[in-house]
Amino acid sequence: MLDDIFFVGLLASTFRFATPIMFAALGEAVSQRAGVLNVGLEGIMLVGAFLAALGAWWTGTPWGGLVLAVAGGAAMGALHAFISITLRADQIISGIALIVLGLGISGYGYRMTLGGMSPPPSIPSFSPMEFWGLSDLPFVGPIFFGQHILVYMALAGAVLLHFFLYRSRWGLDVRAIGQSPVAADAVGIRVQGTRYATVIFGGAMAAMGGAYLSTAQLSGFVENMVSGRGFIAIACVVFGRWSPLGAMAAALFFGMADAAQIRLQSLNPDIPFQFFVMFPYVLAVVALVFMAKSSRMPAALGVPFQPPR
Amino acid sequence: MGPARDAGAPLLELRGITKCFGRLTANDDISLRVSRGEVVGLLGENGAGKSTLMNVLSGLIQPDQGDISLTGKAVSFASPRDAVAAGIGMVHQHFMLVPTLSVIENIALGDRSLRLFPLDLSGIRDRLAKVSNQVGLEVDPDATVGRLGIGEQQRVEIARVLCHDARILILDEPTAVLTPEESTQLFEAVRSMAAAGTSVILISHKLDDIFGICSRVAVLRQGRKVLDAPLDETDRDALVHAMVGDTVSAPHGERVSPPGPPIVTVKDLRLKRDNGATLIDDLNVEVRAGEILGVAGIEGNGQRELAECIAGLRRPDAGEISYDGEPIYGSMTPRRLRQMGLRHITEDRHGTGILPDQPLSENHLLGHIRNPRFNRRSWLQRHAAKEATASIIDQYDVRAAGADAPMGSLSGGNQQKAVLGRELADGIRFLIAAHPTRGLDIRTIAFIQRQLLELRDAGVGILLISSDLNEIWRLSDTILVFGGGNAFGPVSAETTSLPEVGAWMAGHQ
Repeated sequence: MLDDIFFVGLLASTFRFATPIMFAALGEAVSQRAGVLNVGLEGIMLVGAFLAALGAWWTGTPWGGLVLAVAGGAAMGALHAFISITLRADQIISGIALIVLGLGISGYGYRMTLGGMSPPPSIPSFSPMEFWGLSDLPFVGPIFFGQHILVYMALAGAVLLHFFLYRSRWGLDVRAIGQSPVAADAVGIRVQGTRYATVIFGGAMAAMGGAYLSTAQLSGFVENMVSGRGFIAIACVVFGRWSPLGAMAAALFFGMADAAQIRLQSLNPDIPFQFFVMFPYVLAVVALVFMAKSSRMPAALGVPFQPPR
Repeated sequence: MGPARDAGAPLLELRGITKCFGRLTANDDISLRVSRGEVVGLLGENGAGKSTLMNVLSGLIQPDQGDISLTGKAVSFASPRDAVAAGIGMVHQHFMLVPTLSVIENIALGDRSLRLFPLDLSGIRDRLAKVSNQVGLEVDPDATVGRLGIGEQQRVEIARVLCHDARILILDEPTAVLTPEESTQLFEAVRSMAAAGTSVILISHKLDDIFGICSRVAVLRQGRKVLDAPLDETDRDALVHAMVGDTVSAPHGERVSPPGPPIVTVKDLRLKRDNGATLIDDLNVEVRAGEILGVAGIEGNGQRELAECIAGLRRPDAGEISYDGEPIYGSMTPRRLRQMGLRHITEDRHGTGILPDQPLSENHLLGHIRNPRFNRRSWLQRHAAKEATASIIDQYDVRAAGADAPMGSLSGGNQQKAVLGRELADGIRFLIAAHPTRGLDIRTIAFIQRQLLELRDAGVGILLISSDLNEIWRLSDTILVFGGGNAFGPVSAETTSLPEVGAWMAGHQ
């Protein structure tokens, strides 16, 4: 029976660990599909985590925190959009600036507000869902019915974005823009405007991932609490071949790797725990090595578009 | 079509269109009228301003001056969408299709009348079927565009324009990429479109296209309209004259001095394809100073491989090539060969000849970067590079906004002239010219051919690779033919005949 408990725990925490990565990866998948690479997810997630904690404390509800986080993430997305779309600067460099900016804003902001209070304020957070007691079902209960609402939002988001990309006119525009902006422009699609929208959306999604960390997984902000999940999210986009459902699957895969490494740590106390912590990142590198040359990569990814007028 | 039936006004009228790019006036006060159901040819050399004019008409670029009216009403196109909405559809020379999308998705792209969600393409599917039937353009709506051949992709482009109810269809060099049968099919389709009331503007520099389907022709030269007449009131000579201006003197092969000692010697050369099949076996040939060796043949019979071997870029599978008596393989690098005067006009201009995003002056540095004029103790001499480029622009009549203009902003012919100027500069002794005039207009072709003959007379050895048999025949002293897996010759141009060379090209002994 120990095995059952082990696997139920593993699968349940797979969803928990996957959710912040999934939010960020879904938003990134859409903006990369439109041709804009944002390597600054890490910074946006940090700002999202900080603003969620601040907003939750302010308004007294985690939903208030989520709204503030989304607004902040969208603003950082808009900044990246302005630099990389309007100014046509290098997207990688702009993204790296976002990482540093996010580290700074969240760390400084935290110390100026919540971090400076004594006693430390208690941050309202999301509590696990209650589906009329379904979470007490054996095995499936804790895995599927005992999660935070943000977990279900991320999974639903993946399905919705799938329909958005492949079954809507906007999705068709987005796919065309990332592949061949010149062709899209020639038929009158607003290339720059659509790119702005996807990058702002990507920022908002990354911030939701951050909000999950500070108002669901934990109740409160810790400096640098995102600890590399923003980069794993970028790997998920590649690994998931630039599709929302693929990115979801990749995020679940990394979530499971993270859940597994924590359990392996406690089962093997002789091995330094840092090796286990490395595990998901090593997987990310391996995944990129095998997938990076995929022909599914949007042809215009990372290339600023200059309208011929 | 409502008010479109106004009898007096033409369907489309352009008045006084002017557009400058930097110092270059691409369109200078051009006016053009097109009536309903008319097929108008727009003729001109590369860089004459045809594409600029049509980009203005399709909303891709804004004119500096001039106005456009449709059925007598003034219109202005701030973007391609405005032009499409007004019924103007353009089929670009480089297709504006998204290769990863299906045919039907490409046609639906940019159609604002479609429901946002769920995307329903059945209406477009019906329209495509109707249009295909009407003009005889067959396309599979569910095929991925990137997997289609060039001719099919063009059909997709045309079908798309027609699906969006275009009243005016602009075809930019449509036959440049087509086989003769495909061209015939295209002309059939254009005729049925015109019969159905669609006006067509056909951009071309081929007279056969114009005489094939047009009812009227306008000729542009250096940004100005120089002729505009119904086709039955003009003839080929008049059009050529209007296109080219002063007469182009045909190059002539009269030699001034006998050839000198051999520069490049090829002994017992064997070349294999990348997949291992033998391309050329036991080739023995030499190119002397002051001689043009013409290599004729259908492309893909080993010409490119031979050029690369001589340029030091590819190791032969067997045999020896020497330059000035020294074996190329073993002791020489491409850099050393360049220092010894070997120059190369590569066949793939975009891939290996130029850097399209860099300015002309930096393109000029390619291969000259070690020249002390441009490089003082490893410091780049930008000013010297710009001066050198400016003199090339003058000397070779390169139409460009200046030495700072990006190479990619030039037309193909002007790019080739800039490449020629670069390769010929500073100590040329041997030139590999691979398809130097392919895709260029008559005037540029004549200019480049004249340059090659002048080089020969100045004592340069030239390996000329061309699939244009006339070019080989007019310029070469010695002819080598690659055909059907064999090499024929080399033979002196004086001892062979055009039919014989043609037969060799087809692989007949």
